[in-house]
Amino acid sequence: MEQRNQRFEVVITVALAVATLVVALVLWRAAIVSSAAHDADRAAIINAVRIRSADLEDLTTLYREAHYALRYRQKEVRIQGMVQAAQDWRAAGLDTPATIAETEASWLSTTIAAMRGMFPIVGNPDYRRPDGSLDLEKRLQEIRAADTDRPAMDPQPPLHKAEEAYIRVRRLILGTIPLGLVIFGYTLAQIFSGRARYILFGLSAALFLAVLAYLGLVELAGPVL
Amino acid sequence: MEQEKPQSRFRQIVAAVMALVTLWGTVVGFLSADASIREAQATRDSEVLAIEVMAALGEINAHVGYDLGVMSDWLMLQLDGLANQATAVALQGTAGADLLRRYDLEGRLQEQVAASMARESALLSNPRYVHSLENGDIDTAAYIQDQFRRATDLLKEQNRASDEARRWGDKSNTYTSVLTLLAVGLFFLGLALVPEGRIRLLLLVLGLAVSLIDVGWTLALLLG
Repeated sequence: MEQRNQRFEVVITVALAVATLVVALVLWRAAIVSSAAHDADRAAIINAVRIRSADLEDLTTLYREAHYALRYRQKEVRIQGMVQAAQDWRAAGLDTPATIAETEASWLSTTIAAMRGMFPIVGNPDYRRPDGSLDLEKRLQEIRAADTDRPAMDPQPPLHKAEEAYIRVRRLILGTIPLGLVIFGYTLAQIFSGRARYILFGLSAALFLAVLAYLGLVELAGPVL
Repeated sequence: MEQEKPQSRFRQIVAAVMALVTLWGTVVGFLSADASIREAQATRDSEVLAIEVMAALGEINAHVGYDLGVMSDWLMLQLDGLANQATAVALQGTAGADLLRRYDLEGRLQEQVAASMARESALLSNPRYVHSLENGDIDTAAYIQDQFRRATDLLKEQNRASDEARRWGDKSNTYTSVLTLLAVGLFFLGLALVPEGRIRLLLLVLGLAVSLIDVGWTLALLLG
């Protein structure tokens, strides 16, 4: 009987050591996943900086183009006004001022034609709204679409990855609580005698197996980190 | 082998208490890890929001610079047009008709160009800011306030995230102190297993007291 008890105590001691080892492993794994979460956080911050600086760069480009588009528009309005005045003067028999206005309008048209190739938005009716103003939103979308690096700068994927990793760390560490209960149960099994110790050991062992299954699920459910 | 085992009732109780305190330690460990995670998340959010605030300020700078630039052009054209038309009127009777027509046309052209510019700037076209373009009654204060609204909202959000990070950071640090105290309690309980006599009772009481303080502290942190 005494020998049987001694053997059983060895079993409990080994079970205690295994449970403690599993706690250590879980904490080690949680530390690794936590480190991955911090890395993902850092990547998200770096991406946020990159995408916001790209946004500002795009906005600067847009307004630089808009500056030239406005200058072009001013010249266009001026030419239209001159042509109208020339027509009015000619109708009134004022040929000399009409010819001067027509000539100036003609030369101005020739010179501003050179501006049209500078940027897509300059002198292009596709970038006008119904009220005649410049459609800056449309051009901004095009500028952003042309930036092929943009998708790689999205901070959301690393943020999502970090959140998943934090959830996994929580779940892993949560597993140490029932493991603590298992250790407590094993300790009581070592203290008690008779049937109680076997029942305690059995319950603790069952809980230990359940915790192992839970930890396995936690590890399998998420992406490899 | 026989002598190494906690055979006495006292030792059994102490061992059970130690296991229970260790179990409590795993709960505190989890709470500490959770607080630490929340601190890291809030810190990251605060940093991302700080970047958003800076970006929003940069965007405001670009928008306002453009709108004010257009407004400045519009104003100069209006003034030049007015001056040219006034010159044409003033020179009537003294200058040649061609010159007068030229001044008059120039004035009208500048007015037309200015009118075409007005719709390019929110400051000159949005009825929220423009009360009367002819009288130059433009509410620039409302315009600036609107432009800065997003940055101000983001800044408030950033401050909230920063406060949250500090709060969870403090909590996480306190849990570390709780765990340290727990280790002290376990030390006393473990020590109670060694000597014989009244000293072991004293050590047990000390261990229990420290552990109970620890439990109370944890509960206060949880509820606080």
